[in-house]
Amino acid sequence: MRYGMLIDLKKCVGCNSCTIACRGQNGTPAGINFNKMKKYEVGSYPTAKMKAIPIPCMHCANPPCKTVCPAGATEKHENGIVTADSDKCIGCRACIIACPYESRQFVWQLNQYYENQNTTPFENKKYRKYEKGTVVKCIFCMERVEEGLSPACVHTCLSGARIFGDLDDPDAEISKLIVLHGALPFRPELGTAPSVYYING
Amino acid sequence: MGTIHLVLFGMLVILLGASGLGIIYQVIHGLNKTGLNDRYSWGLNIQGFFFLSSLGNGILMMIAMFVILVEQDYTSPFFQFSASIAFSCLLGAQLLLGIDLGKPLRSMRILIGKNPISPLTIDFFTIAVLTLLSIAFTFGILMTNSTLLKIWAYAVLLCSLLCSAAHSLLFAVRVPAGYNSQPFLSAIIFASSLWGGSAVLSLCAIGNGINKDFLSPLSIITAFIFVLGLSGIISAHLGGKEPTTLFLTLSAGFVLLLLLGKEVIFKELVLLDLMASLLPLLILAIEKYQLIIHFQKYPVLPPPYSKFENPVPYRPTVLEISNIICGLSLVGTAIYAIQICKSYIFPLVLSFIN
Repeated sequence: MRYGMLIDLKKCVGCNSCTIACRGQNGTPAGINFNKMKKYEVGSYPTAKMKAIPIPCMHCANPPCKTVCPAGATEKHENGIVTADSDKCIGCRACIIACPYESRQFVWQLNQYYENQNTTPFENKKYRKYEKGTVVKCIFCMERVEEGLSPACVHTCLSGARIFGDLDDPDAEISKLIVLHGALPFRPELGTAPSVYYING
Repeated sequence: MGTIHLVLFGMLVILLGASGLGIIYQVIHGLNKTGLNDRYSWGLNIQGFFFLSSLGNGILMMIAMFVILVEQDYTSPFFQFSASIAFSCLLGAQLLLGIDLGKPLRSMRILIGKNPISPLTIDFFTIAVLTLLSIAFTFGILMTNSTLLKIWAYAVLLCSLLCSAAHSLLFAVRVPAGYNSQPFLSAIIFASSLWGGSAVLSLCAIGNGINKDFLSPLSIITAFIFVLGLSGIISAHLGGKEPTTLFLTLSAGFVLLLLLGKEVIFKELVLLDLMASLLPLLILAIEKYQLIIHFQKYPVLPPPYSKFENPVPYRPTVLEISNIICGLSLVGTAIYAIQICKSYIFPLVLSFIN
């Protein structure tokens, strides 16, 4: 089994709902963003267009972050999901250096969303799992996936641009769509074998 | 110990203590008090680590080569002193690396991380072994036996090679993330280490009347650095990329001119020896800083995805500068402490025992 994601860039409108949903599900502190929405320009004036590409963690089959982690904090699970264990992380940031997708972030400080105010009950509950001085990343909402649900970003996507499923199952919707549309991973030439595929917009 | 040395030692201890408070502050409050950010994950601390570990490796490699090629034995106080400098540099390097961790008190997790292919793991173990080897030479542990001394020398060379390889890998993993490397990076990292080591030996030899013995290796290594740097520029030009070795090449060329001037014209001018020995150390410190900055300044994602990313500058804070001062003052203090131990404390203890 190897969980993966398919993002249809023809459907993605760059609304950032996935980013907000991710923050809500994971309770990330201010400044920490597991799902990045990169805006970029194609064409030139007067026909230039702004496009968006969501970039979560690619959960690579050959993750460079795992190769460089000296403390064994980065783990690739049997279901293909790559996690970063904050309890083991020593904060060397070698994985951030090695990741070619900017998927990892260092918790420099546990920032609150509302300065000069007490932490909200939501922040109190969610921030407990974040440790200052460690590296965090998208984990495909592993808790939801183990309950048979899809990650928060997939569930929330307004235009249905995201599909989640088992890449090793040829009958899964994701596998069929990848073959049908010729979806490709981002920067396949790096040899990381990402589990996130894109249908080009 | 002369008055000047006592004053210098006292100043180093005070400096170590004062800057040490900054380190304690950083360990308590975290890396958010530094100038590091999401773009520049590594900064002055890592630059200091690379510089000092490179210097320590280089000194030990030079001593090892003298043992193997010239059959130098342990009895020379000059090499014992040089080994103490190497040990102190490695100690300073480990301090700077340790405090750069987000969780410095968990650093020993590297031992149980079960990831021997990680460059940091290789670095950790090789520097640990080199530190032990430098202690062995500094304090003469089993070094009077010529066979063991040879084994020591080969062990130093092997560990230093592995350490240079680990440092190269640390930069090589960044290549897919946008780092514009060049084909001679590993060679330059290794040669820089030797350059620093030979410069320190040459510096220590000035005034002992044996500096001429160390100018030849320094000249050869400087020429090697110059050729490697030039090759890096040529390969960048052929690849249509920005050259990254321009500063190193020009400065190595300048040092080479100084050495040539010393060899051909100003044979008795000690000032040239001093300049030719100090400049490589300064150049290496600047080069490591440039390498760290260049390593990270470009966006990870290729254009056009990074088009709207504003370049974030790296501005080291006073805390980071204080950390570097702490590392350097630890080096100086450790050198003095070792000499005091060897000259006064050990003989006193031995006399009590006897």
